[in-house]
Amino acid sequence: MLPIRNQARWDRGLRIALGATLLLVGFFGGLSGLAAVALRIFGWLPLLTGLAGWSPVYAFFGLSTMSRPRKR
Amino acid sequence: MLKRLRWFALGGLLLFMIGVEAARIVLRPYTGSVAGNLVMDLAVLFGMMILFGFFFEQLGQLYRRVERQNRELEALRIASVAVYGELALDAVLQRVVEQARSLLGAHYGAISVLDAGQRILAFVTSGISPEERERIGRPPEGRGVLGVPLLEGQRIRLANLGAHPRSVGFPPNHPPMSSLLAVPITCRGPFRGNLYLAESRSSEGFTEEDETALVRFAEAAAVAIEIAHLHERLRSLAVAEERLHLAHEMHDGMAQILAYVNTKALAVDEYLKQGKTAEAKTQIGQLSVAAREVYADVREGILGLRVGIGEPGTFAETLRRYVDHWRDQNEIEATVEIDPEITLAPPVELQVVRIVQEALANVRKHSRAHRVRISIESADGLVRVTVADDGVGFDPSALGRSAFPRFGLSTMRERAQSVGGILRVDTTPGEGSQVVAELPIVAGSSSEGGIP
Repeated sequence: MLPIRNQARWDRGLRIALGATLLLVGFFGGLSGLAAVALRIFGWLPLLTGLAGWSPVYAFFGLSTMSRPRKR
Repeated sequence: MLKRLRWFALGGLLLFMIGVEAARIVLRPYTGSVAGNLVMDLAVLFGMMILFGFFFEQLGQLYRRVERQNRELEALRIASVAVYGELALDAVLQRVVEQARSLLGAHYGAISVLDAGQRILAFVTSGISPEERERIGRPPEGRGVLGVPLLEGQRIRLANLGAHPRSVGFPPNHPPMSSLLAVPITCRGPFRGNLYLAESRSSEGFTEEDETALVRFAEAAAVAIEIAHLHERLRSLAVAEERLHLAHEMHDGMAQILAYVNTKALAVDEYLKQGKTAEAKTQIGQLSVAAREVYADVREGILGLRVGIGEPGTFAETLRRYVDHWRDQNEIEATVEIDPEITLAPPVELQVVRIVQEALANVRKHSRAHRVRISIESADGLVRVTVADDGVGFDPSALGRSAFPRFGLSTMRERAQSVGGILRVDTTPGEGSQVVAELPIVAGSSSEGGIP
């Protein structure tokens, strides 16, 4: 069963943009060594979680950036 | 577990970083290409998944443990409120077993308490309907497995009840049970008991943690049993004290009346010797009035003793019943208002009833009232008892202790003081009178000075 999404659109967009930027710099920014690896990892994490729309850390702490349904 | 997490946060991260560096060195010939970097990233991500997976698993376990302890504390708090707030033993034990069963996820639960003679003093069940219980018959007396906690004072935790060497099977109509968790209830008094749960809802059955939690519930049950025992002793002491009080009152009252009758009889004798028939008749008339007074007193006293504390029903019902009888006997309109929220200690209840009885006796004898109002209300942690009539009133300063007829004011005052309270009489000739007693809700001692 797929986990229920816990990220809002803006959250996902932000993660994908940030992840993609970090990955681009990590792969093609001319960096090398541990710094390049760290940059790429910190790029993969937001990118993958943003694409999935689900964050394990949010899930653990019971957080969500999804808007709650309005109570009538 | 917190200690393990702390070490893990330090050591785990350090190891992880060393691992990343090692992987980077190993993969150095390939890291110039995008594919090489991807392999490297995958390795690091995999390592991170394992690392954080373990970390969050530990954190989750910690969270679940804290959550369980919170639920346990809440269940114990609810049980403790019942222990200290409820006086009926069965009701308290019922609350304790229900909380324990609900917290530890069992289908059935029960508490049994034996007295010093091994007779069942209380037996409450949870998870079973009264009809089912009726069909099962007599409560267990500890002849089988339940004898281990009940008679030997040992805890027992079984996955399969039937496999235990002490198992003797179930009586007819008993629901099937396999898992059992039973702990003894150890009291200071001459009682013993056990608290047990059967048929765990969990697939792993009852755990060691469940056992520890159940012991805490058994401790709460033990306190409830001790409180009920002390309450019973307090009631017996209150009854003994009341007997002494009555003996004292009868001695004082009867002696005074007999002295009065004796004086009048001597006077009649003297008048008859002197041939003063008219005066003798007057004295005989007074003797007759005194006899009627005594007769009414005795009837009222008997009624007061019949409708007394210790009868079934609440204190308010007892008092209302007494006032109803009194109204029928005396044809004086009487109304009773009792604050339903008031709960009094048994000695205070007793004194409230007796003060109201004495005050009503005064109304009957002396007030010539048409209406009397009795109210019992709480005021600043005290109970205020008021008996107000619309009669002729009197001058309290004109009354001596030896005056006849006595108004019983000193008796009422002594009763109020015996539980640490005070009593006053507000009256003016021609404007009715009002007896007001203010007593602590929990009985104090007259030696402590009473209410300021």
